Amino acid sequence: MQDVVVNWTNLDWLAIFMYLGGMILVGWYVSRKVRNSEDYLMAGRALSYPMVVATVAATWYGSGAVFGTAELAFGSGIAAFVVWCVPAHLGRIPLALWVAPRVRGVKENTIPALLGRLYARPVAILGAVLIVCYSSRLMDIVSVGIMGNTVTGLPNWVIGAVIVGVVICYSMFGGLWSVVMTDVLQFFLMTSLTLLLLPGVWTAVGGFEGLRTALPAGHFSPAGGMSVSQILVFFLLGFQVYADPAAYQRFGASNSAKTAKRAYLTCLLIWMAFDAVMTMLGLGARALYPELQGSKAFLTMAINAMPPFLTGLWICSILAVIMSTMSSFFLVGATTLTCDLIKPMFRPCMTDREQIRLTRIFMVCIGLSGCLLAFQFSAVLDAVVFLGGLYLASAFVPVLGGLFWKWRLTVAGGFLSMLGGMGVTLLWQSLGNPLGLKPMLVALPASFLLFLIGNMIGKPIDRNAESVNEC
Amino acid sequence: MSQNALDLIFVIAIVVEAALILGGLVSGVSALGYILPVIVACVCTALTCLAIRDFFRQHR
Repeated sequence: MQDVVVNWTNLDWLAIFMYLGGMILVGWYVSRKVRNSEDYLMAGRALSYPMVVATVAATWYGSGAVFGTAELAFGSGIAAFVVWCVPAHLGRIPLALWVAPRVRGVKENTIPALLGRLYARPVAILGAVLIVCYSSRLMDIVSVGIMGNTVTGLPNWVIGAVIVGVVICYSMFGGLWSVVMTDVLQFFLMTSLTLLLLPGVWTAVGGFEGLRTALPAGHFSPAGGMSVSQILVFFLLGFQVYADPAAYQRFGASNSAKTAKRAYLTCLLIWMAFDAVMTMLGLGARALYPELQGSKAFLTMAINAMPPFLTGLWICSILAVIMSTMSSFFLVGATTLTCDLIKPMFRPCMTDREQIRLTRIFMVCIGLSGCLLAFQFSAVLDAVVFLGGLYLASAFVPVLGGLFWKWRLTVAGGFLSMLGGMGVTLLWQSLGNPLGLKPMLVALPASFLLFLIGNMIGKPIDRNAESVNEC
Repeated sequence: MSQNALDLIFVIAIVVEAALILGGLVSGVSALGYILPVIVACVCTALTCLAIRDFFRQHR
């Protein structure tokens, strides 16, 4: 098997150091504008339209979206766009039109706080624990280590630790303001540098004419030979964002409901085009390096197409994709631990300063434990990733049900649907995915069914009740 | 223009964009590989500049 040969120069190192140093500098500069915990955790609920577009677009696109789409196109052709991207983005239109403005309208800062007000504290605690696991971004840490090792030859854990260190550093300075403003710059890097690779690659492969002679005919079939069940799973995976805590945090931090809605609709336009470019890059990688594995071929193609310094800058653009996601989720995890677990359970009268200090400490803890789990205790890695995956199957119905269900709503409805989503996922997985169905295909309907049944049990919730201030 | 009409324009734009890219990929329009990245890069650069301007306006 051909391996990646990289001509990594000092100029490329310079680009990397400039980028990492620049991010820390931006994080520090922005932190000088932070005055209280609302600024730190919710950016003063003052994010404008272009800020929300940049931060939502950069946050949702992690290593999975970039390498995943290119890898799928490498293996299945244009079906990556037709089956994976288009239905997912069209399925998110209701999220932008109805969920985003509704989330901006509620005063809770986090999903567990919302679950706590709508249902009861145990539902909020369960949601908070799952969100913390979901926010550890272990797969992003692993990916950045592998990519760094492939390109520079340094050990995976060194690369992972440095990147996580820089992310923690700039995120803890100014909280959401720092995360958003670094996201803005990372959004620019990821879109301009990643995408501008395509014209060169396209010329090298000879456009679609060249691709048709180099690739199997199946790569140009819209469904790519996938079964209906596979297509349905891809479609449902796109709905994960409906319970994504980072998206909810950004909707809540927008300066108005209209901004949240329009910004998300704009993101859909950008993501659609971004995915199309990633699909074409995946096809190009297959034509140029058919003997390599998907993501390795993608990296090799990009690196070989660039001169020194630009190679380093291009790696920065991939780092930007991963780091923007990491920083947002580290902050979400730390906010959840502080505001949804420690504060309500042990310190209801926590001051602004204490809240910010504790969030910073938790950010360091999440980053450090993420590095340790990713590179030292890999046996636990799968368990934490799996727990994070459980969050989406268990939170989707209670969160959206709580926001939109117009009929009888009870604590039992929220609790049963959450436990049901988790339980069915665990059961289905342990049975080895009977009938070839992925756990989520079964867990979501089961969670909804239990939500309906649960809502018939017990006293209805007073939706207009104010959350109790225990201080 | 009312808010709902503007929302509708956004939704139509998303559907039209999906249809155009799909059509381009299925029928093999090579120009897509040159035009699309440039358009996205220009739009995203403009949004980045606006976001930075908004930040400095808010924190003057």
